[in-house]
Parts: sequence; structure tokens; C-alpha cells
Amino acid sequence: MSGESVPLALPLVRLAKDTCEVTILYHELRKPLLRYLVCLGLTADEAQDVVQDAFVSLHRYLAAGGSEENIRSWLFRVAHNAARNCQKTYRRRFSAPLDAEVEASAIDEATPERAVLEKERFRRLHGAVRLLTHAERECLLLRARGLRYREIGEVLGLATSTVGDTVERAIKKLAEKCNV
Amino acid sequence: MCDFSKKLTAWMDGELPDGESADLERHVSACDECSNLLVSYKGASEAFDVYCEATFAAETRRRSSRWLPAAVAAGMAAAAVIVAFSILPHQRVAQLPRYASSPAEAPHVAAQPAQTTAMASKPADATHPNASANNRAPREYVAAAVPHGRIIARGTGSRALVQSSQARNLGPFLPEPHVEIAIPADAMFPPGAAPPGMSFAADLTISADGSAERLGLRPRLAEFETKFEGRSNQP
Repeated sequence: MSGESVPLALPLVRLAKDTCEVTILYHELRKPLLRYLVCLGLTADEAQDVVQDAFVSLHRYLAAGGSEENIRSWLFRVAHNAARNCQKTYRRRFSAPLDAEVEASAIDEATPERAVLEKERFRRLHGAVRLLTHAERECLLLRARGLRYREIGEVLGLATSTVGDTVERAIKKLAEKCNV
Repeated sequence: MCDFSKKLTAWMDGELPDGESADLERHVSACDECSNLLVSYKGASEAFDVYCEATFAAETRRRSSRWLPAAVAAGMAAAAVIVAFSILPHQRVAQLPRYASSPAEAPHVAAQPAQTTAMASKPADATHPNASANNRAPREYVAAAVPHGRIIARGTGSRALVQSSQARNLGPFLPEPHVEIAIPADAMFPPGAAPPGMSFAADLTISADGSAERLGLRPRLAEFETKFEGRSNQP
């Protein structure tokens, strides 16, 4: 009897395991994914939709027997490609002017003198970020979300050494422009 | 420029192999240029993280402000609906006269089947001219104020009965006043067509212009009708 039940039970166990795993990953990676997508230029609503779709895809991927290795980079890659497919976002991404709201949110509780300094620093940083290439900005954004160079390479389709060079170049640009 | 400076970011991010990492660490502690660059790179990296958080916070705030007017409008609409349901029905109920609370107290009037039809087309006529004097005002009010009132015609006995009721169960919503009319069964069916003791109730809906919108017949229990008639005939 037990021999007969194994073939039936295995898919159920796997499904429960996959569902549980997806739930854990959702709680762990939802916010980093949202931040990455918003910083890429998506609105909060667009980012929510992309993240939902990415996790639905992950559930299907695991249910279909997909590899459980490098799930984090897999999710970021799916979300990244979905954001790329959004043409409106792509146009908006590098044409956004210095946003007063971004400045205000970064300089909330500062004293007047410090607020002026922070504002100036922020203005320079914004200018420096706009000088970054697509790849440099995406590498830095993924790095800021805690991804390793190998994972960044998997998301963007680059070699790990290329990611290292790109990050080094981007950080150098920011440091020079911001004079920090 | 120092040759080690190109590996500073990778070392900062912990991406260098252990051997290289140890070499670089020793070098940075001895090289002022690399030490200064490292501080500068760390500052730029932290500034970029702050910039990302600020961008995310700004977009979240923008999203909230985008939904705020819609949320306020929805709240106001909900409040208006609540006010309408809690105040307006009470006002309308308060205007209603006190109807008979039991069939025995119900106003009644003798009417013929032909008059029932006339009443359906002109509700105000239902109370006139055959209405009992003591019940005239309530029935006139029903006919005048609630043109959508429902008329129930009961086919029992030889005497038609017009009844205005709805004093019971006056909840927060406007009740549906109706007039009940008894119609002789002989006037509706040929003799012998309806089984003995069987009666019918006709639901008739009257539109705002006084015309009949809907008419439906429902069979009634003879026992109930007998009881009802007996009570309604009491003085």
C-alpha cells in the first residue's frame, strides 16, 4: 500500500515544498525587488505588478521542476527583463530631471546649515548618477540590493569579471563627481 | 596611480579571493593613496544607497498622494450613503400616518372588481368615494405620497375589502405601503373553475403615473382567508 501511495504523494509534497519556498522567498526578496525596480524607473504600481508576476513565474518554474539554485538571481533577472520590456519606463529612466521630492525625502530632520550641505551633495550625486551608463547604474543598483558579482552577471548577462570592472568604474565616477 | 587601486571596490565588496584579499589589506594599511581612495569609494557607495532609498521613498509618497484624492472622494461618498440611509428613511417614515397594526383595525371599503381596476390606474381613487370615513385620511396619504404602492387583491367572500397596512415592521427603510382588495372569486373565475375554499391574491404594482406595471396571482389558503375575513369584519 505504501508503495502505491508514494507516486501520488510525491508531487503533492513537492508542490507544498515549492509553495512554502516561494512564500519564504517572497517575504525575503519582495522589498529588495521593489526597490530595484523603482530605482530603475518604474512607478510603485508598475513595480508591484512586475514583482507579482515574477513570483507567479517562480512558482510555475519550481512546479515544473526548475533548478532551485540561484533563485535570487533568477528572480531579479525575470523582474529586470519585465522592466526592460516596459518601454515607457525605459524612456523615463534616463530623462527624469532632478526630483525635488527625492531631495526633500533625504533631508528631513537636518538643521538649516546641514540641510543646505546635504542638498548640495545630493544634487551632485544626482548629476553623477545620471552620468552613469545603463550597465553601470544597473550593476550598482543590484549591488546595493546585496547581490554578489556572480549574481549580477547572471541577471544582466555579463561575465563576473565584467561586473567587477563595471562596478569599479561606476564607483570611481561617483566618487569623483561627488568629491566625497 | 597605484596598481592596487583597481581592486579596491572588489576588495570592499568581499569579492576577492582570500589570498589577494590579505595582500590588498596589507597594502592599504601602508599606502595613503589607496587608503584615501577606499574612504572615498565607501562614501560614494553609501551615498548611492541613500540615493536609492530616497528615490524609493519619494515614489512611495507620490503613490500615496496619487491615491489620496480618490480615497477622500470614496470616503465622502460612503458617508453620504450612510447619511442617506440613516436620515432620509426616518424622515419619510415620520411622515407616514399610523396605519392599522392588525387586520381588525385595517381600514376597509366595499368595492367591486371593476373598481379595483380603476383604482389600479388611479391610486387616489382607492379611498374615494366608498372609503369609510374614519380611515379616509390614511388611505389618501398612501395613494398620494406613495404612488409605487402595492395593491393586493384577495378573492374571498362576497364583499371586497380595501386595506391599507404597513404599520408593522417599520424599520429604518421606507416600507412598501400597499392596499389590499378582496375580489369575489366568482368575478374572476367561472363557477366551478376554482376548487372550493381556494382563493387568490393578486400583486399589482403601480407606477408613478398611476398605470399598472405588474400583476401576479398567488393562491391563498382558505383557512387563512377565513380567519382574516372574520377578524377584518369586526367593528
